Amino acid sequence: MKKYLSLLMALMMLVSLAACAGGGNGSSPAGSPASPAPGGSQTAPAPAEKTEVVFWSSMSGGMGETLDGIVSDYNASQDKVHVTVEFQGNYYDMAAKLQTAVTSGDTPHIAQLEMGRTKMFADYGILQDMTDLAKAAGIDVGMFYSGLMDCCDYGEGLFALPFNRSTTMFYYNKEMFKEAELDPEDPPETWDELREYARKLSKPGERWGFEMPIDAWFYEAFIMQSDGRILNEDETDIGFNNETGTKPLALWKDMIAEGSMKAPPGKEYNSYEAARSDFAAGITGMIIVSSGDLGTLTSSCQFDFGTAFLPKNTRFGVPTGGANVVMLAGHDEDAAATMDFLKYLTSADVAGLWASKTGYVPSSEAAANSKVYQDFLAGNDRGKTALAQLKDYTDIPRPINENYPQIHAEIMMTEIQRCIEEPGYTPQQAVQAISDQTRALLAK
Amino acid sequence: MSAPKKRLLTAGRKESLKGYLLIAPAILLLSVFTIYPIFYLLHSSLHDGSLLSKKRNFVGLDNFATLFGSVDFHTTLRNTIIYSVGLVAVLMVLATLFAVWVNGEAQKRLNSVTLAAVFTPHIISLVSVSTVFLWIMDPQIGAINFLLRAVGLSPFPFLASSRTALASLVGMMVWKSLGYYSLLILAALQGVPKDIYEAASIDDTPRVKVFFQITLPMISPTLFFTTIVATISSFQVFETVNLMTQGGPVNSTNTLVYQIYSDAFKYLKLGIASAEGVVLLAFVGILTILYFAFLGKKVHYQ
Repeated sequence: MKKYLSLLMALMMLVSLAACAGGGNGSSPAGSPASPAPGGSQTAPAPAEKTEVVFWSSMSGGMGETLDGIVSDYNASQDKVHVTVEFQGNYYDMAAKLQTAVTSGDTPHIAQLEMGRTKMFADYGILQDMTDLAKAAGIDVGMFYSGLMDCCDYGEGLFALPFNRSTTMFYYNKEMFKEAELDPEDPPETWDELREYARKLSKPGERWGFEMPIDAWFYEAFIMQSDGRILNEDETDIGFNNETGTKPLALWKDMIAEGSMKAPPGKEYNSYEAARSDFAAGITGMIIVSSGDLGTLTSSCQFDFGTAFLPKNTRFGVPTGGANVVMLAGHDEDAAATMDFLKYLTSADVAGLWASKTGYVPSSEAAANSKVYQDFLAGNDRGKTALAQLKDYTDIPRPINENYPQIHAEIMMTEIQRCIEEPGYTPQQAVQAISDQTRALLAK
Repeated sequence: MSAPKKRLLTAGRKESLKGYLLIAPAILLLSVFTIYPIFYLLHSSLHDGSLLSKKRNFVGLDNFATLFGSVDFHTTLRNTIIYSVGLVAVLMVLATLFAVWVNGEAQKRLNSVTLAAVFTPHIISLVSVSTVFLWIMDPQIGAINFLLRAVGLSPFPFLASSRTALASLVGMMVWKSLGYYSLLILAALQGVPKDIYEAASIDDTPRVKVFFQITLPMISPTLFFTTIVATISSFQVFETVNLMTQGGPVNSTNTLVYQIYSDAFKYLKLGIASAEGVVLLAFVGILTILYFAFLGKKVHYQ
């Protein structure tokens, strides 16, 4: 027994050693463009005069293919720069991998970083301030929609450029509306109408009028709809420890209790997927997910559906979401090549194409006016909603505080889910708990 | 030249040098991958900042104070303990009973087929198992709830409710690990000398008494060993949580290692994460010492 055990352990060590060695070999040629890859076997080596630029992406599936298409068009369009896209998993995975990449000193040139994490990373000095580089490369930063720039340039430098940005969006099943004798061209405009419509669409135990992931992003939207603020003025506490924070939770609890709303299972992006598939299966008639889900829903729904603004309480309001592209610090030699690609990626036609294929919002007026995006809008009213929301109703900014990712993903997420799940846990208790924990975190 | 060399390498020294040479690779790997990280962990737990910081400040025991003052950490600790105790207890009892049954004389062929069936989950990747169970335990489209509805029972929420999520994870891991631990115990059962059983049967000892007075004491070293291994590995549960629940719903499946991952990699709080790592280290260390000190005395070694 002992003999076998030690043999086994020795074997395991060998295997792990081999794995370490393999990983090291595999990653070093890509990371050090200075040393020409000696007949590299895995990746086709670019001709010596081309600058290699590595782009870490979070896009998979159809969106990943669209991105690959854009990048290969760029690679074919010129002979100075070669961009390689490497998929790294969702936004959470990306943040983790960037951290280890920085520690090991082997960073990509460009990464797709979720908007809320910009300051968290920029404060460590690992993101390149692109103010001068963008100017030199001829990128007109003023062209981007201001609602998208809050988190990219918050007065300390230009740390990100808008890429796959979205807003929360309301989707409804037009055929189910007809069946319930509701006007399919008149989606609910207020919370009261939302609740009334949801009741009419529901069938006890088999169909729910409304569904939405119990996610802090949508909670932010509902706070904004009562003109609430996410953090207070001096960023020491939340800004919704009042009616603007309790009303959304009370509404959801009531709707779930009466059977007109369904909370999908799962956490993080699993619950988005659950909501999308319920909608596509006709189990729910109205959902709130991301505008970036439009492409997926268009291909998976066998019925006619519409999109609309998120219903208002006292006013319309939505947070933006999605990710930007950032340049990592320490790539000075390749800066010009990196910026050349970023200029291409954010240019009107490419950004317009990207938005039309995915459902993300176009990043600039020029992109919205590009032919490809205008063609996309011509045949389809659904696509117009996100852009209209972005232009008019993103005036309440999301916090850029470096602690906000944790407040959002850990504190708010847990408390709102607890509030929805536990019958005796009141919205007041939940909001107070969020406030207490947020104050403790921000006091440090 | 050669004379002092001979004196240096006497037979005894030569023998011990050979020993050191033989363990050198293991010691080297252990130092690099275990001992150095432990000291690095202790160092980080007393500092702030993250992996990205250029300079980390010494903060004394602040990280531990923050940790033990936080309600979420208490929940995490409780989840981890419930998960480990639940999993190990159920696993050990079931694995022992199953091994005894398989070891029985009757129905040899059926036994070996069953053993193979129960052992198979062990060789399937945990990632695949998690993904498949996500579907099996889905509240709406899952296989189990389909069957429950078919016989007229109300569906079970599994991972969707904070009351049942942790138990669902335990259940899945029991299914996955039962075969492996049964096999270990079965090997021990087959090592028990037959003559003891023969003596017992001549005396007409009841089967229950045979089990508790002969079988159990004779396989106790193996039971002891498997309990330690199972406890330590269940304390470090991560993949299933990461893939299936991400710690939710409402923190009900947030376990120590997942919390370490979240703090270190999602929120860039290396100090806090390291302090949690120290707590994990202490827990596992204490468990091991306890086992060796108390259980060790009651274990029958041949």
